[in-house]
Amino acid sequence: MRDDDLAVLPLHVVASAIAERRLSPVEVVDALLARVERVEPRLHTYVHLDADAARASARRAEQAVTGGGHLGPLHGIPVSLKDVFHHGPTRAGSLAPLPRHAGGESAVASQLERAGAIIVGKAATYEFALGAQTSSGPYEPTRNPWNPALDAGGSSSGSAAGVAASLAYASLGSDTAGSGRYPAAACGVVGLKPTYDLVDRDGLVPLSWSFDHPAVLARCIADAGRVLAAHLPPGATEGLLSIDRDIAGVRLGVPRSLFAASCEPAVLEVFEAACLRLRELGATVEDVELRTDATDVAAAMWPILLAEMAAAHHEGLQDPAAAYGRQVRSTMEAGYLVSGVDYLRAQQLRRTIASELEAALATVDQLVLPTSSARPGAVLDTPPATDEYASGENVSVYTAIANLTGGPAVTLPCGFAPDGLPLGLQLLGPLGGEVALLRTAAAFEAAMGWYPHYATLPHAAT
Amino acid sequence: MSAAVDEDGVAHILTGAGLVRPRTELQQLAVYAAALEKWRDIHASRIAPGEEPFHVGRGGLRPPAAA
Repeated sequence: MRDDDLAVLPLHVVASAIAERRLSPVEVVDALLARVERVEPRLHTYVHLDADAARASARRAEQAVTGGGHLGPLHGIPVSLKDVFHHGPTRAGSLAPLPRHAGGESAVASQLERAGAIIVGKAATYEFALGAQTSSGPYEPTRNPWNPALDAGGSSSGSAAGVAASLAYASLGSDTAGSGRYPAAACGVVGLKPTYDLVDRDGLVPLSWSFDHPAVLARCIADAGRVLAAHLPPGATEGLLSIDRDIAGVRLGVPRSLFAASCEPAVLEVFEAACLRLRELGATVEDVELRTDATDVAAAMWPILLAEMAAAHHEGLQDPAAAYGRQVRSTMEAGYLVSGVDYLRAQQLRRTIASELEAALATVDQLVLPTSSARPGAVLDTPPATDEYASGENVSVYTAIANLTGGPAVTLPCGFAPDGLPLGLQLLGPLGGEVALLRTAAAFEAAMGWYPHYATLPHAAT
Repeated sequence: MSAAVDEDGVAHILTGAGLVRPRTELQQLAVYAAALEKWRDIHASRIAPGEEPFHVGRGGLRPPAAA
C-alpha cells in the first residue's frame, strides 16, 4: 500500500487493522511521517514535530501488539495535539508567558497515550486560542488544504487542517466559543465539543475557564466517537466505539432565531438541503421556538470571555515586556473594562439562555443549524480588526451557545460553498447527549458519502 | 484602567499595568467599551426574573455550564 493510501484511511479502520495484526504501527507512523514531510511545508499545521519520538513509540506499540497484551482504542495511531495542551514544548502559539501551571502533562495527553495513541506533534493555534484565524503569533499561518491561499479557520487551525490533509489521523483541539467546530467546518472535518468537563481540562492553557472545552477533530464520526471514548472511563464508552445509524423518529429542531438574520443565502441553501436529507433518513425536522438570538449569545458570552481571559493572563499582562501579539494583548486588556457587576449580569443571562435552550430541547431531541455563515478569507499578515471580534456577527455566533450552556455539539461536512470550501452542519444536544448526537451525525454522514473527498483534496493529495 | 489626553489632544489609555497604550489600541478598546454598553442593555431586558449567576451546590461553586 502506498504511503498516501494508508495515511488517508479512517482512524477506526487503521486501529482495527493494527489490532488484527494486518498493519504494523511502524508502517502506519512511517507512512504518515512521509506524507507530513511532503505536504506540511505547504500547510503549516504543526508548530512542533518529533518524528524520532514518534518512531520510537511506534516500535514500542508494535512490540505490544506482538506481545498480545491489552490494546487501547487508539493503539499505534498517530495523532496531533493542539499547542494549548501541556505536553512537551508548549507555547500556546505565543511568545508571551503562559499562565502558571501546576506542572506535568495535560490530562488529554496522558489519556491519549494510555489509549495507545502516538502524539506526533503539537498543532498550530491562534495565539492563546483567542482568534478564529491563524495570522497572529510567531508562526507561519496554517493554510486551508482545500485552497492554500485561504486561512484554515481557528483557533484549532493546525488540528483541523492537519486532520483534513491526512497529516494526523485525529487531533485534540480546544473549543471556547467554536474554536474546534469552526475550523473543522472550514476544513471539511468533524469537530466534536463534548459536554463541559466530560473531558478533563487539566493542563489546558486557560483562555476562559467556564467556556474552555477540549474538542475532538476527526475525519469521520466513527473516528470522533473512538477518540472521545479514549478520554472517558472504561464504563462510560457505550455507544461510542460502534455508532448506530438509525435515526427513524428522531426529532430535530431548527432554532432559526440563532441564525436566520445573519446566514448567507448560499449557506442557507446547503443547510436546507441537509435538513431534507435528514428527513429522508426518517428524522422529523421542524422549526423550534427559541427566544435566544445571536445578540443575546454575544451579550452573555463577551463580558465573561473578556473578564476570564484577563484574569487568567493577569500576571503576564502586567509585564510590559511580555511578548503578546498586539491584537491579543489589547483584546485581553479589554477584560479590565468589564466590571464585577457586568460579569455577574452576563452569568445571569447565561443561565437564562441555558433555561431557554433546555426548554427547546424538551420538545425535540436535538437542534440542527449551520456551523457558521462565515468562511475563512485570504491568509492575512495582520489580525482582523477588533470590531469584527465584538460585533456579534463574527464566526462564533452559531457555535458559542453550546459553550454558554455546556451541552455537546458536533459539526460535520454537509456540502460546499460557492468558493469551494466545505460547509458544516451543526447538531446540539442536551448535557450528556453525545451518543445520540453522534448517531444522528453518523446517519447523515453515511447518506452524504463524504469520506472519499479526503483522498482527492486538491492541495494536499500529492 | 483610565483614559488620558496628552498635550496634543491625543487620547491614550492607562492600563492596570501602568502602560500607556497608543491611540490605535485605545480605539480597539473603545469598540469593546461601546459593545459593553450594548450588552448591558441586553442584560437589562433579557435576564429572567430571579436568575442567579452561579449554582452553589454540594459540589461547590459551579459555572452555569456545569451546574
